[in-house]
Amino acid sequence: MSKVLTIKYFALLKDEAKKDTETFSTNARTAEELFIELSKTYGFSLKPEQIRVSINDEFKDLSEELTENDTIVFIPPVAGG
Amino acid sequence: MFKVTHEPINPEQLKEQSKDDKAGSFVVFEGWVRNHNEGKKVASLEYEVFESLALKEAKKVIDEAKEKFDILDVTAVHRAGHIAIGDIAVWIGVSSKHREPGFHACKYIIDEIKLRLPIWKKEYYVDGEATWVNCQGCYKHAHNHHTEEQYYDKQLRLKNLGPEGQTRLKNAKVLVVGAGGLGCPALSYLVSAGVGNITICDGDHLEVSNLHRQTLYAHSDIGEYKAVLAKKRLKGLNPFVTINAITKRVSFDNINELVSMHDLVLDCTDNFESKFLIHDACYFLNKPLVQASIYQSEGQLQSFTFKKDSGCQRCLWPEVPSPDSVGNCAEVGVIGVVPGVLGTMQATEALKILLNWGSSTDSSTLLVDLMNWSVSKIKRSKNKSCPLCGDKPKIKGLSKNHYGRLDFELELSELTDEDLAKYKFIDIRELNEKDHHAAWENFLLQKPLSLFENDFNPASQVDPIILVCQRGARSKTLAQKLRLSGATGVFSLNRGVSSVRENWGRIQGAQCQ
Repeated sequence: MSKVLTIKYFALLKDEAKKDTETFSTNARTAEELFIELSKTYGFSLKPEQIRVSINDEFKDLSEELTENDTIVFIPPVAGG
Repeated sequence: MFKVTHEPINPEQLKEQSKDDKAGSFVVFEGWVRNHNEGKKVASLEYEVFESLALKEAKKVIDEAKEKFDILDVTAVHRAGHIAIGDIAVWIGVSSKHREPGFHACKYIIDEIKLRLPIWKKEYYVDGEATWVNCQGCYKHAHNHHTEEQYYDKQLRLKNLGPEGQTRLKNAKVLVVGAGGLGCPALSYLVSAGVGNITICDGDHLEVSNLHRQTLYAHSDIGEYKAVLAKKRLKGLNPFVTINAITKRVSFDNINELVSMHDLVLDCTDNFESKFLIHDACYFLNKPLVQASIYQSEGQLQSFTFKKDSGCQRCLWPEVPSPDSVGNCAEVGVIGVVPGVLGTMQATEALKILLNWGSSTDSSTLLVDLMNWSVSKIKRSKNKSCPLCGDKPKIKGLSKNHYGRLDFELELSELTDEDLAKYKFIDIRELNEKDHHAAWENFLLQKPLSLFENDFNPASQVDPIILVCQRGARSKTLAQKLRLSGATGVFSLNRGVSSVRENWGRIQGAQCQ
């Protein structure tokens, strides 16, 4: 079933998506499926296992199921200083 | 040689004594008695010297200069007693093979002599008055017209800080790893807040491209150790705190000792290996850690107090991410205010933890984007399968395997001269990163990374090659990639150009054979 989500991007993912936030309608069941779907659109250079996901301001496993109106943040590792 | 004299200083004689056929440079500093000070006309001066202590301290200063700089000898003389306008009060001569270390050493010696030697100065004014103007021998006494209460006045007024909180800060011991973009602001605020014992750990030398974001340093400091420069600058900022400088990178060998000697750690480094090493050491020694990382206009801030329910770094990232999972510093770039803001936030969290005000990031990660002012606070829960703090931890203590260098990373100090001759060095930095004034810059084979991958054929490679970049991150990624595509004799130079600079004499000797 299709659901509408708010998605935020950080670091490398923001550069590649060329946006920091968007509202997105998807049939993806889990965060991982959503990321793979978005990778097809934006050509993300990172694989799902290289990123972390937050759902409604809490770090979650990529296999976590998504529900309507969730806010999803995809976070790549960052080390600069 | 250092001496104190009551007789007029004779520069010609001192110069004659310093003659040395091995020397190609002789740098002299003369300090003269001037006829005014702070708006008053000065008629003459009197120096009082605590001689036995001054001789000991001066010997230390000269030994330090010889250790730090490539010089041959030092002659230094300080006047005692009554001396007139225009007379020489202090004379320092430094002989060296080349001029550069001579200039640096001479400046170091006079600065340290003024700071550390027990020499008092009485000024006699034209109007007949006289006064002891300062005590140069003891840095704290030089500022003794200010008290700590005055220094911290504005924060002592805070009801939740007060004298008790100030004492807590004064007794605290904090380790700051990395004196770069994050470390500079973090250190400034910790020192000025009165954190009593601070250790700065950084093995890098200052480079010109650091200055746009590393605000503790001056253009004239380029080439010197950042830890030493930061210590000197910060001592000037607050004379009431103790600062130690360690001019080494954190490593598997020193991390336990460093962390265990402190109450709290700030991770201001810029690479995953250091971040995981520091994090795991803090976990095992149960020391709070405040960590930040940046990427362009964004930053991540998180603290770890290793409480029962909150997630550690490895709950999120069980393994050290590979360096190619983020862009690198030269390609990605950064605007100076970003580490400035994040480093300041680190100092804020550190002070909150030290003052028992509680940290709001010890169970969550702050994601900050300065471009759109968004701040997300993301809760970190414990991960039961975490290899460090989970139910069945795999990492039971610090082990080299978890952070150790990969086998294609080389440290020049571990190679013999004979081995060194076998390698071909290739500098993969982009042209605009180079300082064309240094002789070695033109000596190494140049092949910028942006051109490298198109025309490198691993099969045609005969000599073993060492790839060199600024810090050793890009060369490591490239070496890793080339190894995967079948090349065998490809290595990455650990620490990049700093290592070349330190070992330049040996490299040149070995390669010219």
